[in-house]
Amino acid sequence: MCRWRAAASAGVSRARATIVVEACEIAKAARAAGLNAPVRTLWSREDDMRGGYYRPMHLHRARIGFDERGKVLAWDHVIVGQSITTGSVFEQFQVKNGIDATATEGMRDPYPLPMRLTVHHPKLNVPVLWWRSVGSTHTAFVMETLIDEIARATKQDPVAYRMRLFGDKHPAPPRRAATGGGQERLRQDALA
Amino acid sequence: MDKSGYGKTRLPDGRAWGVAVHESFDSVVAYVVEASVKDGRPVLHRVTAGVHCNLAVNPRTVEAQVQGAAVMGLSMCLPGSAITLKDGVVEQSNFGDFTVARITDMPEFDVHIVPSAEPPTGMGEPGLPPLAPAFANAIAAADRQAAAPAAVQSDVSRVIEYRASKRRAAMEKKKHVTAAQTKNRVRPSRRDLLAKIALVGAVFPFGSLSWAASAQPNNTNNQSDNGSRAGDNKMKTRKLGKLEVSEFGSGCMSISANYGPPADRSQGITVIRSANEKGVTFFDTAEVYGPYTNEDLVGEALAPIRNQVVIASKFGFDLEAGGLNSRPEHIRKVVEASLRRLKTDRIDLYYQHRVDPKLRSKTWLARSKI
Repeated sequence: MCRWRAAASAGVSRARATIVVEACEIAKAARAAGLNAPVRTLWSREDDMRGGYYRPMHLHRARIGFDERGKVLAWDHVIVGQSITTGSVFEQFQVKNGIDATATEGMRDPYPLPMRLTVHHPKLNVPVLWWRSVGSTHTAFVMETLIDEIARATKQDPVAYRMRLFGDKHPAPPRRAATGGGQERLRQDALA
Repeated sequence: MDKSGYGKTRLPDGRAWGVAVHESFDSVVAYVVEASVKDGRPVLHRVTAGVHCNLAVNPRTVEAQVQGAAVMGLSMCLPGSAITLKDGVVEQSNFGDFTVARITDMPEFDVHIVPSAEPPTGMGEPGLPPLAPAFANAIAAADRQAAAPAAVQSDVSRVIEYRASKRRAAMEKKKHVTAAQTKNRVRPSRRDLLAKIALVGAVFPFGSLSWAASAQPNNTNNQSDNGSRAGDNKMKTRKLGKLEVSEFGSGCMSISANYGPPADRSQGITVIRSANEKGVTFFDTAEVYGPYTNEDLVGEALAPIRNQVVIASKFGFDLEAGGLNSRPEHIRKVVEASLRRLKTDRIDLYYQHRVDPKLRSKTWLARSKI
């Protein structure tokens, strides 16, 4: 059994639309007040860093059972983090059964693993928005470091171990260019 | 993998390999990196990227996207790159107290694209996710190689522990904020309100807005505009068959349709005319833009200068019955309507907007002389 905690960092999500809307509001107010001139709105970097949106902080906890050859027998995974799309116009597309798909993307696809995934979305006052690659910013970090941990714990080369994980599902020659042969083979190609 | 020398090349002492692969936006990016720890700081020395995005339409763009994403991924790994909250306020304010990767942090970089002729997949963001785990895995490996038992705690776990503790601390602070400061919000209420507007506003692209905005400098910038026209920056022209058009054409669609609500009509007309004043002589529209309203707008804007410009429009849809229609009798009907809207007696370039699969091309080509 391996028990592991990991977390990815929070960063500033750039939501330029905020300042555009603010500029429009100020221009409209200026016009209403009788000012007939262009209005320039400028956010300093300090404004931007302190008044923008932020990538939601995520905490992952995984308990993984695997045998001496690295075969994963059970994977119990919990993600905690604010939902990005709840309360936005995207909620209807992204949130199902209370789970925001932007928090879990990149978790299940990479490897055919027997995983139980639990998600908690705490409600906090921090304004959150996506960062480049959204959920993958934390799921890729957690999954790829955990896969390495399993390889290390079972004394296997991390590349050979990944190839074996892909290969279990799609036994395709690793270095052949993909001709519509499924995403596992694409991954093998990228890794080759 | 092959290109990086992984498993074949012996690295200098202190350096170690790290690998990660991730799929996002239907593309796969794998990194093989070389990293070490210097003075307690993780250092990224070399990155070899394997990219599978099916057909790479412009391989240099793919390379640039992957490099940029990797630098961003490197930034998020460096100490001091976390946003933290204290009493509901962000503690960092500028680059003095927030780390981003600098030129001295930049690794050697190679991008290899897996050849493919399949339809292209996403190639903006997929370079970001696998960089941090590849780097972390390399640091963990470097640390094991250093094998100073008990003396050096795994740097990656230190990094992770550091981040986790910051996170935990920040999480507690945030909880505190939620519980204790329901009135004192994290942001000023002005921004709070605007933010809500922004979220709604974000779904409307700014195509028409930018068109409308570009019409504004009518009074203020005229002098410099005139200057540039009179000078060497004269618009070049090129031949389109028998037509001679400006090298820059104006696609007019977004003034009326498809990029948010239509722009103000008089502003749209001003934009088109000022484009012509700046040397543009080629204007593109279509029956389906609006539908109809864009041709109408372009027609009104260009009527006074009709003989100085080239107008392109398009047929091919059946806007009443729905679907595609390029039958000769339909073209004859809609071209008359387009001419009326465009307030002109000729359309200089008339495109088929979509191929009509019901017709063999010869059928309408043979009869489409207008």
